[in-house]
Amino acid sequence: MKKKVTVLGNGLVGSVMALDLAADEAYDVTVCDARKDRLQETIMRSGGKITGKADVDFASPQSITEAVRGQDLVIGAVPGFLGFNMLGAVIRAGVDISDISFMGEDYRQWDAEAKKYGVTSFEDVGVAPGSSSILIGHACEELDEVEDVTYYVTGLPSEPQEPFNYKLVFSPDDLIEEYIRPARMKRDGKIISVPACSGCKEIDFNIPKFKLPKMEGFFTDGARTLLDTIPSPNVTEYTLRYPGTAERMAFLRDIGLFDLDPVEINGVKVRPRDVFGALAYPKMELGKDEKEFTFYHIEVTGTKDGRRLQYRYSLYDERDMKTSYTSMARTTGFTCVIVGRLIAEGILKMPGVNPPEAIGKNQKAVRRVIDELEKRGVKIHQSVAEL
Amino acid sequence: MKSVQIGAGLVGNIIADDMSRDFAVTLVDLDGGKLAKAAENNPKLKTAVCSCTDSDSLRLILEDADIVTAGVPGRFGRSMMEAVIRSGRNLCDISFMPEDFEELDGLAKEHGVTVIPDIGVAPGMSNFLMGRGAHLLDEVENAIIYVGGIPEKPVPPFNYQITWSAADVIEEYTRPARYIKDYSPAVIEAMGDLDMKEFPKVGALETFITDGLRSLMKNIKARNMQERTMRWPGHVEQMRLLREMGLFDENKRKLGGADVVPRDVACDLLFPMWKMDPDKGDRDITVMQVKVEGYKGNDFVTYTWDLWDRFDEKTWRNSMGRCTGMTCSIFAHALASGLISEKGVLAPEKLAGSDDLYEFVMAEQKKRGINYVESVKIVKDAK
Repeated sequence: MKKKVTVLGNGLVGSVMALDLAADEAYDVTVCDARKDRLQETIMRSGGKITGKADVDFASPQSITEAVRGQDLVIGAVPGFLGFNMLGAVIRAGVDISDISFMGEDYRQWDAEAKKYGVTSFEDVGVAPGSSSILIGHACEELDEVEDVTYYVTGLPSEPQEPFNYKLVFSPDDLIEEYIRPARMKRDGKIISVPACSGCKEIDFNIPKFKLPKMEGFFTDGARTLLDTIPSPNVTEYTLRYPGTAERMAFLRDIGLFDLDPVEINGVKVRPRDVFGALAYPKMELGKDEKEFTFYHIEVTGTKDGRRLQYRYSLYDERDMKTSYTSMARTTGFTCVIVGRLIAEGILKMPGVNPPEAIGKNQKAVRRVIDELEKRGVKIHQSVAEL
Repeated sequence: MKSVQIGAGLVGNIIADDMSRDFAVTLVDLDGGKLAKAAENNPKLKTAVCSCTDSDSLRLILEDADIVTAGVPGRFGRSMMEAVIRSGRNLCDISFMPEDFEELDGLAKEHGVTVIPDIGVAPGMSNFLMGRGAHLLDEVENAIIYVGGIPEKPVPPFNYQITWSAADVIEEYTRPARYIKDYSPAVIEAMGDLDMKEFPKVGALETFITDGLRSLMKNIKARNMQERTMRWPGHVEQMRLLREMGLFDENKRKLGGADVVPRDVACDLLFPMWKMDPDKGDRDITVMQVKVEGYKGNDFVTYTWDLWDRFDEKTWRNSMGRCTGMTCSIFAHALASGLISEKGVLAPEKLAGSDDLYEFVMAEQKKRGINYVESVKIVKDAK
């Protein structure tokens, strides 16, 4: 019998996930989104295999619970600010979920509820957090003792344009957060906080397989659950951008252009960030045929059998010009649907609300994630170096 | 002798004070509060409330003046100048008017009046020294003014502070700049041709072409001529970012649910951060270099004047204001004493032929602690 899966959210990534699942005879796919025209487009692209529902209200937990009750699996892809309540609604319906809704709250608050309902939930299963976290969790499992986890991550246009040298591949608000929210990291076992955009340096990755542009890296607050779930005294996330970006963004932040408190301009009240958004976001819009890439590089250092080792993983993916899926949507969406399948297949049966690195403990699941990503053209390069 | 200063702004006060050491000065402004404050600081000043564009009232105030000095907002400059000319008084003026003041040359001659416009530091001394260099040479190859009013030390995030309006500064960052290239007028985008240059006592500053040649474009013949503005390194990239983002646009548009002019938002956000506050320890410096080079006979000669001036701790007056106001006062002294006798509206570069005036101006600047250091380099038989 076909497994019933409901995808909540038919945005850039949601649609990629729905179509991936619909291409598999094992799944019966329903997509919920209030935007009817976009829903129609996804149904058409699936050759009519997908069922669309425009009447589910993502702001109403009750509406969500009713919509997903009786399903075998939910794929979550709603806007971040709706994520937390959506998750609770799915749990109360007793349905397993693989989720990329990037919520600000700590989703582990639902852990007890999920255990009560026997629901398996995996959160943040995109790219970073996501497959990167799975690999970090895996490397930590392999090592006897972990010293350091450092990773670098980015999604950038292949041909940068002044003045931002950046194009939006996810929500603009999340982008601004990267430049303003103090970055939490772990040093010698303690969680510390440093200013956004700090720690900036040019980094040459020297990975011969990839054609990487010159980039700079700076601290960002993306480690999330990794700060307390993995047995490493040091955890650092760097976000990569074209050189000069951190200084420019720190400047815009320092002059108050990202502020949310309204200022009065000739008797009219406006929020500086809205002004920035109205001016800048159109200039950051990714063109329909514009090439972009997603890249991460992970280094997990520690000891195993008395040897000092570094596990290295790199991912590089470009926009698929045939489907026009961005690499960000591909690397995020594919990971989420792959994890969803593993849940549905019973390989990942872990009642509770779990961060992605928890998957790293499951050898079979890790192998499947890497294999399934590769099947979809997303290759993860792995190596172990003795230091 | 009697003088009248029109305008009691920051620089107007400096002019009035300096003039008051040798003249009985009447300070004129529409703002009685400003006048009261000025008179409190300098009891020698007489004051009169009057609009600088009210020619009838102004005529009465100017009646027995031997010399007039002025510094009013640029948009009132022309009508004020015309009113002074019609009153038959000589004038030294720093009002930065958008119009071509030489259009009033005929009127000034008709009334037997001498007007020296744009007589601050730059424009002002920059013009005078450009003129001086050109006068000393047969053919001018390169004539460059470098000028910057900057904080003594770079202060993040801007490394820049101002004593006047943010709007004027933004104008400088958006208006295409005119200069002379190979004897012909040329235009470059604002903040164009950015480079770095070392200056005495300061070190490396970034410099870019600005639209400040004004009357020099017509009055000096040179193969290449530019005015360049200096800032602490990094400032131009920041300003380019804001400009390219559209934050300096002047058209009202829907931004964040309200109709606003992006540039107004820029001014509102930037001005408090740009404001120089001496009480908080902010100090400004004025850095200027005027370099004129070319042929004298068969020799290739380079004349350079360097100025470095700092906020005055004694009078608590900023450097840019002092360098501007003192120059105006010095030329007013020269005019009143008969050192300048030609009639008409005379841009400062036109006065540079007189050795006596040059000696007088340089000596008077020095007396006021403002030092222009002249140097000459000669390459013999370079032709």
